[in-house]
Amino acid sequence: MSTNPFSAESPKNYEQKCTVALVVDISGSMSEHNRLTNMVAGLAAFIKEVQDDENLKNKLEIGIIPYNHLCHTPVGPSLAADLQLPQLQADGGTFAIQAIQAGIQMVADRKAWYRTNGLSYYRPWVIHITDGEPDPREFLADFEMKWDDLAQQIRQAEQQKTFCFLSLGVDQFKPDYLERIKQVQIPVYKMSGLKFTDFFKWLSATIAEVAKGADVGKAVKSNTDTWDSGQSPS
Amino acid sequence: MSPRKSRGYARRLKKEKLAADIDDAGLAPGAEVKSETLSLPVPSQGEQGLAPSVDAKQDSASPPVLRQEDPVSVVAEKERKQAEIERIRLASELVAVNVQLNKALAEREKYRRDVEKLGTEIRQLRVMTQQAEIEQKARAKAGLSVPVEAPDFPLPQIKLIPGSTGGVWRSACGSVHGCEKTNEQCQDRSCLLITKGGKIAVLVVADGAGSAANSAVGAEASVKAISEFAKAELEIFEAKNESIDQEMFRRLSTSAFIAALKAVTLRAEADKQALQSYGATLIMVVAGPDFTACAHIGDGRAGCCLRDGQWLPLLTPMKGGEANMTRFLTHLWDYPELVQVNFIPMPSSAAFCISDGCENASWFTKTKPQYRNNGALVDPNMPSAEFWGSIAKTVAELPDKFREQGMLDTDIQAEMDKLFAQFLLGGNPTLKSERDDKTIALAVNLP
Repeated sequence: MSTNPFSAESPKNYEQKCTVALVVDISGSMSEHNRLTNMVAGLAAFIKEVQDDENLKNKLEIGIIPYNHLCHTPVGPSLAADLQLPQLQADGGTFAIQAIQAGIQMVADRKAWYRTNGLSYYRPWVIHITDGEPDPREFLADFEMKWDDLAQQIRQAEQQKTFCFLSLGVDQFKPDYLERIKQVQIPVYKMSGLKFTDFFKWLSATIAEVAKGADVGKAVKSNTDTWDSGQSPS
Repeated sequence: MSPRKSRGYARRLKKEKLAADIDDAGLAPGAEVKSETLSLPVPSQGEQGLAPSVDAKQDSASPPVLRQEDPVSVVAEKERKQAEIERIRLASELVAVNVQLNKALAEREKYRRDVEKLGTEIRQLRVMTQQAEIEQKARAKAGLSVPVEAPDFPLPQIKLIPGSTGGVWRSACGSVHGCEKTNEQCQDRSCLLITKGGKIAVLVVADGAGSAANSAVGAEASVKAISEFAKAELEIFEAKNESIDQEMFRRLSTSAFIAALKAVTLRAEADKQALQSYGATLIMVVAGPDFTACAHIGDGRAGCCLRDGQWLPLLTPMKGGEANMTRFLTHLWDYPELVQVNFIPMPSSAAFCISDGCENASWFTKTKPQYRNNGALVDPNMPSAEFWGSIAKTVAELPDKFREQGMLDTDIQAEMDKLFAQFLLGGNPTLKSERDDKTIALAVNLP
């Protein structure tokens, strides 16, 4: 027989969702060496790829939280087809604490919305991308304490399986602060050059793997050679 | 008034006046009080009830001597009496006012308690409102109040399977990897056996836990153990021509699952690995001449089509807070009651079970609710009659077509399973894009 005799149409179901909150540094240093330009191009490619993926286009909801020393309106979370990439301009300091907490709150709000509407969901992700170190002027004398509180919040989320947190350092970033807020299973990564497109491609595949039940620690460490410099501090 | 009565009245008046004087003076009990001797006025023509005062010490033999009062003291006395009467009246009014005051205080206390109770309720309502506002803000942030693309709740699934198998079980069974994976990475296992007498079909599906290192081995061991155990036990019933009821099936399935668990545990001990790393879900469907039954741990789905064309689910999947959370066979040591059993005392035209990788493609799993347009989405847990009716028809008819083409009976099943696996890999867009491993075991028996 040339054609398969087995054929059947599938019913329509509302897809299970997964939220990704991208907390992206747009401080002044990101304007150097085309970092911001490359990141925006990588984001656009990521959104396009998710839109074209039959599996992810109705599952993955993306939110973007740009930050410097000012508070920026978060974008999303929404499906790739409905997401409008914001106009990003590099300027100012790196007030990271409130931005990361905004990302955590975004995924928490989304999970609450899923539960209210009876939707199934996979564990959400918060991805932090930066090229420098956090600016202590954000909280002055309380900065170290606030950074420790943030670290505890992220580690607690790992124990309670609330969300996955990944930090990606670009170029001349300072790893010490990022090491303090990482989850045990997910190392801090250093990007090789400005391979944002490869990173986002890897990210969508990894999220899909973990959504199927793959171990988080194994999934985040596999197939990173296309964009990981191999010099990650962890 | 008689002299006796007038004396009594006089004494009463004197006492009351004395009491009033004490009150007025603010004196404590026991203090010396000068009291006036009450003198009664000379009764005049207009007055009633007052007899002239009589001197008590006067000799009874001599006639009473009327003392003449002077007019000024009479008036003063009259005024004093009026004042006392007024005082008594005021005192009684005061008592009435006190009664009313106490009543008002009691009412005020009751009112205070009611207000306190209402205050507590208002605080509770405020908390609930705040929570609702937080959720409303979350919805507003999300930009949607209700998912707009959600399909409607499915209509009752009534669809007969066309064709005939002559009362013989025909089957198709396959486990394939998800897209972007290789076969070596597939953690699903399945098995489909027919008893010697051909009357009972046993379908088994196991889905290894994605995060467990040895879950594929665990799935393999559990499928092998449970199918062999169940087939052997059911063949005994078949040989004796005994029917199986719900209680018997429960006992049989409990024993079968324990046999599977023991096999996995022995394998873990032999490999010197942790038992949890062999975690897998497990479903067993048994379809006989007069019953259809299912036992399971974990997720996945199972269903049947009864003789009248009703398509029904046979299990409720065990799901956790996140979409891929469930229970595994290895949890049975800690939770012996974990095995869920469902028994329908009716024969079916088709019985099937799947791993969760196939549920979006073949089941109604997330739609709008049945009766409300804007409520939270629900899981109808209904097999799609379109999907299953279509492939069940193919399973029923294909062996005859292969025979017509000259294929040997020994090759027919292998060819059917091969085509079925290709269908699972990419038979429609939903199956093609599914990243999870996919397994279906299907048995069809049409008169």
